[in-house]
Amino acid sequence: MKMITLGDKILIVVVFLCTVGSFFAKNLLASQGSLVIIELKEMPVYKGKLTEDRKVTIKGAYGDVRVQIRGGNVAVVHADCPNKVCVRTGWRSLSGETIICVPNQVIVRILGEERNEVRGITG
Amino acid sequence: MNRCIGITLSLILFFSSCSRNQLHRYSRESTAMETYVSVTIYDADVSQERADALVDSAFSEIHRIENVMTDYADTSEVGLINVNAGKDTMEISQELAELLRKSFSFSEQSNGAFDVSVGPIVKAWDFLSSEPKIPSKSKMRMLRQLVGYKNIVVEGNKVFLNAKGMRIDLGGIAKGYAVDKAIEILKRNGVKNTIVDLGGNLGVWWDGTHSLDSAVAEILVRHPRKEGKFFGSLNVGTCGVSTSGDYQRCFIKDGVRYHHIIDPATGYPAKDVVSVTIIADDAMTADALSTLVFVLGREKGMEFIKKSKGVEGLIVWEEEDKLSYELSPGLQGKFKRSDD
Repeated sequence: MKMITLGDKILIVVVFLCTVGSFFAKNLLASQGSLVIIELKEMPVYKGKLTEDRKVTIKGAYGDVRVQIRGGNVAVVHADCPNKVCVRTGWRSLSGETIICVPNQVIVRILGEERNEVRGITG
Repeated sequence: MNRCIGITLSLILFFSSCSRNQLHRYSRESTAMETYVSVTIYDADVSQERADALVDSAFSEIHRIENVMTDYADTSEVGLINVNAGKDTMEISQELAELLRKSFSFSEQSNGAFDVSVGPIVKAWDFLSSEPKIPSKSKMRMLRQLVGYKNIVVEGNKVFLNAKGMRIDLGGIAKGYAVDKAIEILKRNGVKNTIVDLGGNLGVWWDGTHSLDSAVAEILVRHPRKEGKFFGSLNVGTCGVSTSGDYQRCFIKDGVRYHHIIDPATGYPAKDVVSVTIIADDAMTADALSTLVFVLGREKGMEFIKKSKGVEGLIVWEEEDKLSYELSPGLQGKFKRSDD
């Protein structure tokens, strides 16, 4: 029977570390979003990185909706709508989070790595 | 040596299998009860059409409850009670009568810190307006006389408000109740794993799990002073989770923060703490108790949590711009504080 060589041992260690590392990277790191998509009447009207600071104004069904992307967060900072649910939603940053303005038919989505996370946000 | 290779390969296989997720996630968002709502279903093989139908049924239930319990419309059951305050006895649904009785029970337990008759004061502050105003002292004195849950008379399915101008406001309990009812509908339709989120009032239903005994769902608690950041997290199974914070529906005037969690005894926003998160067996209890404990404040609030069966909580307060927090005994070692 052949003896295991030093090269084999190094290979085993490298494969092991890569497997364990990818497991922890995928499952334990916070899923910060990376992309912002703004939809008007279910059609995408803006797509950009969450890391690029920017102000975007959308002409919604009811009036203007001003979206601000700043420091990895996104918020609707102004909306011409009656109840301002979208503005009060505040700043969002995690993949899967959304900000919705029903009267204007505008949805701001944060996308990131596709994951089947079981997660809720309170507060 | 062969044993060494065997162990290594076993570990690789273990970690590979752990990273494979068996459940698919279906999620949709909308708005209801003046806030956002999302329903997420986790299932191994439900079709998109079936998932859509299930989510629609949950949304419909939430909208049905909104139509009964909103005080923004004079045509809802609560709206009709308010319009007829001091005039007529109103016949209401058994569902609303039971929710009112439940809210009175929270009022009794807290000596009035939770009180759905706070409606006239909440209306005067009008935190949903784009320019909310501080009510004058004289107006506040008058409005405070209209507050008192004992002046809401519920007999069977009939209700009467004792004085003209009284108003019921279910803002501290109805969202949690709607979450529970939405979950009930989903359960009845065979859903075994779901999270319903109505403005941060969370209902987690995960078949076979219970509250902090399990750790299937990660709950992130928003930071009270840093928008887009989290104060910490905890893992739970089936339960309700709710947070009341002075950063939600608030405005700042002359350096003073005015927020929507009103102390019924004073008519002004409760001041002692900045955020309260409650974990309870159901979302309605979590919703009501997060408001109730917020109003009671740090010491009395924690006492209340400790004596309430199946209830755990996190209370955050601020001293000289520095946040401190206290956990109830059952949360010790289970709440992970985030880096600021």
